[in-house]
Order: sequence, then C-alpha cells, then structure tokens
Amino acid sequence: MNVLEKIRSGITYVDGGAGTLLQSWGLEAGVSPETWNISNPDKIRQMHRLYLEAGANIITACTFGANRLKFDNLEEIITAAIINAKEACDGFDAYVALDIGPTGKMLEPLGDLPFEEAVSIFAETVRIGAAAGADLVLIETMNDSYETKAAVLAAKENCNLPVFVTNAYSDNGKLMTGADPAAMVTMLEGLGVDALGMNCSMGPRQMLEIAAETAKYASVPIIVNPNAGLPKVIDGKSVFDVDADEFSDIMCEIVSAGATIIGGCCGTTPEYIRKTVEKTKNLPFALPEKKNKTLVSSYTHAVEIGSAPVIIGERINPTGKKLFKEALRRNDLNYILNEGISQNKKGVSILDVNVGLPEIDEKSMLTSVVSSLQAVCDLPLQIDTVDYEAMAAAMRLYNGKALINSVNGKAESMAAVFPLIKKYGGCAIAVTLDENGIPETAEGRVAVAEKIIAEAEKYGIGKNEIIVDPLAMAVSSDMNSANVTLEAVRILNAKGIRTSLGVSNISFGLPSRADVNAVFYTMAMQCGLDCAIINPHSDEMMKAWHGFMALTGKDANCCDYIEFASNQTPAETKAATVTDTLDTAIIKGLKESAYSLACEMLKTVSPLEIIDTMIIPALNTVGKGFEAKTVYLPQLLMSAEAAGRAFDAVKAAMPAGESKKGRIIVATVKGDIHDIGKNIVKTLLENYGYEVIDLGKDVAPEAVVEAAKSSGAPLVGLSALMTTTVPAMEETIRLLRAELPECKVTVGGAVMTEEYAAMIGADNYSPDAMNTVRYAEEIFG
Amino acid sequence: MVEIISAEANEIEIKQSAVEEYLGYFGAKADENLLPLIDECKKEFLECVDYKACVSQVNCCEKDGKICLDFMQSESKSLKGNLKNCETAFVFAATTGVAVQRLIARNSLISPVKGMITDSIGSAAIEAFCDYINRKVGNVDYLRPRFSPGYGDLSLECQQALLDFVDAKKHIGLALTESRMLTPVKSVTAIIGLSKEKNKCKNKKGCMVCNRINCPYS
Repeated sequence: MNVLEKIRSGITYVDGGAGTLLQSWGLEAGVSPETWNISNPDKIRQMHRLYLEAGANIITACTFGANRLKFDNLEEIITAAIINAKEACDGFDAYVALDIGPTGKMLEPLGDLPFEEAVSIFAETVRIGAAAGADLVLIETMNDSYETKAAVLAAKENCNLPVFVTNAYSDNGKLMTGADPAAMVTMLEGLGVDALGMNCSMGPRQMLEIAAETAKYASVPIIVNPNAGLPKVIDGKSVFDVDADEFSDIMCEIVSAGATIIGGCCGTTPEYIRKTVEKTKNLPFALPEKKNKTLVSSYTHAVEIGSAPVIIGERINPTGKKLFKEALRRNDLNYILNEGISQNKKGVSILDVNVGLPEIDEKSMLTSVVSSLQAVCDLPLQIDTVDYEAMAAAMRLYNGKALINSVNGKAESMAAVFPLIKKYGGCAIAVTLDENGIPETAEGRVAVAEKIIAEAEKYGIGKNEIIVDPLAMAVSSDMNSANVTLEAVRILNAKGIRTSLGVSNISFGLPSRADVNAVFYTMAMQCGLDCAIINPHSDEMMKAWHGFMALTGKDANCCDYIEFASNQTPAETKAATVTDTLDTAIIKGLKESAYSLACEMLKTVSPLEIIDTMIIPALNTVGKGFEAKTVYLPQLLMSAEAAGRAFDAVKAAMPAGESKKGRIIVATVKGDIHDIGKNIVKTLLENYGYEVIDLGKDVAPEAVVEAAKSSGAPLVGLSALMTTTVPAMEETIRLLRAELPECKVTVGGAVMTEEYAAMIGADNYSPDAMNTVRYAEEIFG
Repeated sequence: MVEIISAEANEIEIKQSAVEEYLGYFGAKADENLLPLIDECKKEFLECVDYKACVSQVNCCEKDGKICLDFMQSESKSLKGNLKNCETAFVFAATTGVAVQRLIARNSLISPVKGMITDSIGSAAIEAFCDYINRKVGNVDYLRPRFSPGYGDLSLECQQALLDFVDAKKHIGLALTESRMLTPVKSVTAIIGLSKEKNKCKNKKGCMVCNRINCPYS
C-alpha cells in the first residue's frame, strides 16, 4: 500500500514534535536539529522509533530547515536525514516524509525574495530528498500563502511524490499574510496537493474551529497537527499547557470535525501520539466529500461563484481607452493599479486584468501588473489574455487561484489552456464558439459549452471549474440576440453549469448604452447568471446589481442596498467657496474644485496660459511658503495633488507634446523598499510640468542606467532611507558616471546629508522635495 | 523562551500629536484641512493593524570590553552604556502586520498625501505599541530606554541574530531583507535593559544617542 492508498483507507497518524525531545537529549539552543542527522544519527533514529512505536504511520525526516540559505552541506544533511528515517522504519508499516519548512525570508512584494528564487530554493531540497528515497513531501508551518505556493510548485515540478501541505494559522484564524482557510483550500486544491491542513502555532482547542472551516471547503483529506497547547513560562522554563490526555481528547473532536490525518507539533511527545492513536483509532472514518464548489481566491480570501451574482470589474483593459493605452506604453503601472483600487472601492469581487496592446511585451506587462496589484489590492484576479505564454507566466506568479479569461471550443484553445489550469489551478471562462464560429441558437451554444466541459474532464478538470459565457451580441444588428443569450443562460443554469457574460456588448451601436446594459444585466441575473464582467463605475449597472440582490433576498435586511443608496449623493467634501479662483483652490489643496475651476477656465483661456498664470504661480506660492517654513509638507502635497487635478483638465485640452518641460528619472535604490519620499518628489515634479519616469523601489543600478539611456533624461533623482543602502546609491552613481557622464544626479532620503552626497559623487543634495524642483529648474532652465 | 504579546487596535493609543510630528509639524498645529484626512487614514489603519510582538528575557554581562547577550556580542559603546549594571534584558521584535504595509502602499498610490499620513500613523502606532510592550514586560521604573539596532554605534548587523533568537518570522511574520530592512514595514526590534535599582540612568532616550546633526527629532 502506498501512502496515498493508506490515507484513503483509515485515519493516518503523523509523528509529533522533534525539538522538545531532542533538546531533552542534549540539543543545545541555537544548534540546528538538522545537523544531528550527521553528528547524532542514533538519537535521530531513536526519536523516529519512539513515534513509530506510539503508532505514527508517517514520520517526518529531520529536514524542516534544510535549504541552501541555511546549509552549505545540504545534500549530505538531507540524504542522512532520509536514511535515518528509513532505517528507523525498519519493521514498521510506515512512510517517510521529506519535511519542508519556510525559508525564513519574506517573498516579494512584502519582502525581497523573488518568487522564482523561492521555488528554486525549495526545488533543490525536493530533488535531494526524493533521490534519497522519501515517500512523500510534507510542506509545513507555512504562514504565507505565496511561499506555500512556491514550495508546492517546487515539489510538483521536481518529483512524483505525493505532496501534503499544512499551514500555520494565527489566532485570528488567518495566515500571517492574510489568507483564511477557504483561500488556502482553494489555492492548494487548484495546485493539486494530495492532502492539506494545519500545524503549529496553536493548541488543538484553537485549531478545532479552523479544522471545521477547512472541512467546509476541502475535497482532499485534512491534516491537523497541533502544538501541545500554548506555551507558558513556569519556573523560567517553557511548557505547553495541554497534557497528553487533554490533547488526545480534543483530537477526537478534531476527527469528528473532518480530519483524517492527525499528529502533533511543538511540545507533543510520543505519549501524545500514543494516546491520540488509542482514542481515535476506532472512531468512524470518513473522507471529505467532493464539494464541487466554483471558487477563485486571492492571498486573503476565496470568492464563490454560484451562490449570488458576482461582479467582475472590467476597467483594467485598454480597449477603447486612450489614457489606459498611453499608460501601458509609458509603463505607468500606477495608473493601472489605481484602476484596480477604484473598482475595489466600488464593490467588485474580482478584477479582470487585460493589458494586451500589439506594441508592448504582454508577458512582461501582465506579470508585472499582476504582481503589483497583489501588493495593493486583495481581490481575486481574472487573467484576461489571448497570449498563452503571458497567461502561463501570470498564473504561475499569481498568489491564489485565478479566474482565466478565456478558453473556447476550438481544439487549439483547449489544448493550450487546460494544461495550465491543471498545473496552476484556476476557473476558466469558456466562450461558446469553436471552429464553426458562434452558434446562432441557444441550444447550439449550450452544445459547445458541453463539448468544452467534456474536454476539460479529460484533463481532470471538473465541471465546477468551467464558467460558460454564452456571448452577448449587439442587439442593434440582430434583434433576437438578447433572447438567444438569455435562453442559453437559462438552459445552462438548469443543467447546473455556471455562467458569465460580458454584458455591455449587447448595446453596441445603440444610444444611451448604459440604460440598455442595466436592463439586460437584470434580465440575465433573473435567468440565473452567476457572474458578469461590467463597469462598476456605471451607476446604472451598480443600481441594477444592488436592486437585484435586495429583491431576491440575497442582501440581508437590504443593508448593502441602503448603504449604496446613501452613498449616491455626490461627496464633494471640500467645496470651494464661490469666490475661489483656480490658484486659491490649489493653494488650499481643494482637488475637485481645482478640477472644475480649470474646466470652467478652459472655455475662455488657453491651456498654456492657465498653467503659466494660475497653476505654476499657485504652486510657487506654496513652495516658497514651504521653504520659509510657514507651510508644511502635507499641505504642499495637498496643493500639488490639487494642481495635478487641474493639470488633468488642462492636459485633455492641450495638443500632445506641449505639456512637458523635461524628463526626469526617479528611483529608490537597490535594496531599499521604502518609497514614500520618492513618491512625494515625483508628485511635486509632475506638477511643475516635468515628465517623471518612476522606476519604483529596490531598483538595480543597471536598471537606472538603462532607463536614463533609453529615455535620454538629463537628470536622475535617487532616494535611500537607510545607511545599508547608501552603497547601492554610490554604485548607481558610479555606473551613471561611467556610461552617461553628462547626466546629473540629485540624491535625498533620511540618511542623506550634504557631506554624504558629495562623498558618493552626487551633483546635488536635496534635503526636501522642493529642493529637487528647484534643482530641476536649474538644470532645465 | 519566547513570549508572544499581541494587542487589539483599541488598546494602543495613537497620539494625534505624534502623528503630526511625524508629518513634520514640530511645535505647530496641523493645517485644518488635513485633519479629516488624518481621521480617514486612522480609521483605515485601525481596521487592518495587527499588533504582535515576541519577547524573550536574556542574560547580559560585559566581557573583554564587549557587551554580551545570550544571542550576540557587541563592541557597541552606546549599547554598553545603555545596559550598564544590567544583568538581564528583554529583547523583542514587534510589528503592526502585513496589512499595514499593504495599506501604506495602496494609499500612496491613491494620493501621496494619504500615503504620507498613513506612513506617519504607522510610525506613531509602532512606537505606541513598543511603549505598551515596555509596560507589559516589567515595572517601567526599572527598565532602561529601549535600544534598537542602528541606534548610536550599534550596527544593524545584529538584526538577524535578534530576529532568529525570538523566532520572529515564525511567531509574528517579521523578516529581514538582504539590506537588513524589517519587513513588514512599521516594525521594531529592540533591547530593554532591566536594572536592579530604580532607574536613575542618565542615558539619552532611544534614538537620541544618534549623532545625526540635522535630525528634526533632536
């Protein structure tokens, strides 16, 4: 019987804590237990045997911290660990797990460990462990969903062993980086793990609730390996507050809650496992039922499609959007990210991400947008592209289980998309067209949908992972098109197939499109539509959705509707007084007033005149106040933001190419993850009319030089917050001097001083943001 | 032995005056039209802050001119001065959590001034949480001023040893980047000397031992 057959045949027992036992045998604090595989193999084998005698079926080799960041002799340690465990198993019907714990580093974007670097670190451990003869991989104590994904991918790509995963939840029932059990189950089952659950960080009592929550979503066996309670200090020593009797009693409840693979973690000893085996071995054994839910997830939560209509925000898409296209060409991620954040505020549940333009590298753009969105927005994403390479790269990097837009009935499409979904997890929007085009009838579209579902099943992808889009077509060119689409939604819904629509196509060619869209959307929801890609900034659409939710009993006490309705009145918090002019509105920092006053002025005054007579003088007034210390930085920034809004209006009315005074590059140097100061400088420069190329934070010296070369910017601004990153700043300047001797460099940041700046060869030291503006004025004249 | 200390958002008082100081208003009132924005950012901050710390008590002594703690030895004169006559000390790592880092990033994108305010609230909050930890670990009358890696001549080199000693990544999700920055941001590591006598120590408080000449806080 292999380990997968074993876990399906009855309750399976995992061993308990190693540290407590080994320390009682002389392992000193600060010494890694992994080293004992070589220096004290007898004691390691003895520990394993004690757990096997207590009844464990799976023992974890002593490899928890074994990765190349911590050990130079990795192969020797892991191989010895697996051999020790294998030898201990002699005479027992048991399996050896290659134990993989966290790297100790934080992954990007929260930290600085790149995702692929994490995969590569785990991959090395997996290859050695598998070659040494491990029976399975146990990834445990992970408190970050992203690092968990990196480890699972490494295991799946580098061996054929079963993969079990347990996460360490905090007392709020979530991982340290935010994921709840539903999010973890969704992502991990998408990645195809064989069993999942939780370990460490809390005792069995606290884990009971998380186990029950996991059981609501999981279709694979659930693992629960708690600590021996919570640690307490008694007589200066650390002890856990749950003894073996109490532990094993609660483990019975945990089995009843749905766990079938159980053991212990910190503080548990062979006695805990022995008592747990005794008390639970005769309890009824039931594997989780297949849940067949349609779930996508982010790094914090899962969204279920099928219980109430789900809104997918459509705004991250260049189609028909001039500013968005420009942002893509300029690589202006901030613009794109703001589209995500503003839709999040409007109440969408999923964000569609489409960044396809013929002239850009879609793979690179899609991956950077997906990564960056994950730093600022916790909604699940819908990866929307026809470039399968870009799709694969984005799915790999995505921290969760994404919605994929789209697959269709063509053989080529299915052959490209389904293997990706099988590997990375994902739900697919399945568009009802194939080699024969789009069927004219509802039945024809349903037939294509069923063909796609049947093909997905060949890959092991369930019907629940496919969401069918029966295509909304312009009613202006075919008066029956809405009827056909709605009928298809009805039939699909009756067959238990999930549905989605890109709603706004229906009104193509008609006036007042939003009104038609909203009515069609309402009709489709009434036919059972599960999700729709819509513009959440359209009041008509949001009214339709909120109204539908309230009217169909999906909005308890109409609370959401009431809140929505009360927010409908325009919220101009800081209205300008009647006498305000554009310059005073900017000085006061009134964003919306500045915008409307600029629009008003444009009727009679030329754009350039507004800039020269209103915006710049107003900014100068505030800037001088700042320099004289009568105006503080936040006020200066508020004025800059108000000026920015006025610029928005002016720019729209100005012929292209007239707006910019000159190009400036700004960046926070390599190794530095703080960018508040740099962002402030950028805002001010932009509002003084400069074109700012923002390279972001943690930027390598080579990247700065490359950008300076390709843009021809004569001025570079560098920021560093800490002494540890000043050398990176110095290196950047050295490289700039070597390659672009004429390029000027100004530096700033918390640790910078005049002397420091001179020492590392900068042309200028900016003690504050205004100084950078003044220096730019000097350079550009 | 590591003890985990956590606090609810409402247990930690984030002083308005501290936030305004971080925004640059030293001895001045914040502009009137900034106040609603500060309130808005504070509300968002309170919804996502997750105060957590791991604390451990260590022995400390002087040997061969070095100050020795269980997890490190240092030649730092400033730390030696701070811990003079202390036989034990507390070391801790504390954080406001990853959601705060995400909130600062998000608000900076929406509006630089909101980003700056949220950042300042984060700074004020982690300081207030450190004060809370001080009160939790012992009688403040016997505690020396908090001392962090990077203060005075204590190098940031010891940061990793300190984090490993209290197992900060595992317990509170706090890690170090290659350039020794704490992530998530708005986190602190520190050493607090425990003196046997009621504190009459004349050590300057915390970062005041720093020699930076143009610091607005000095």
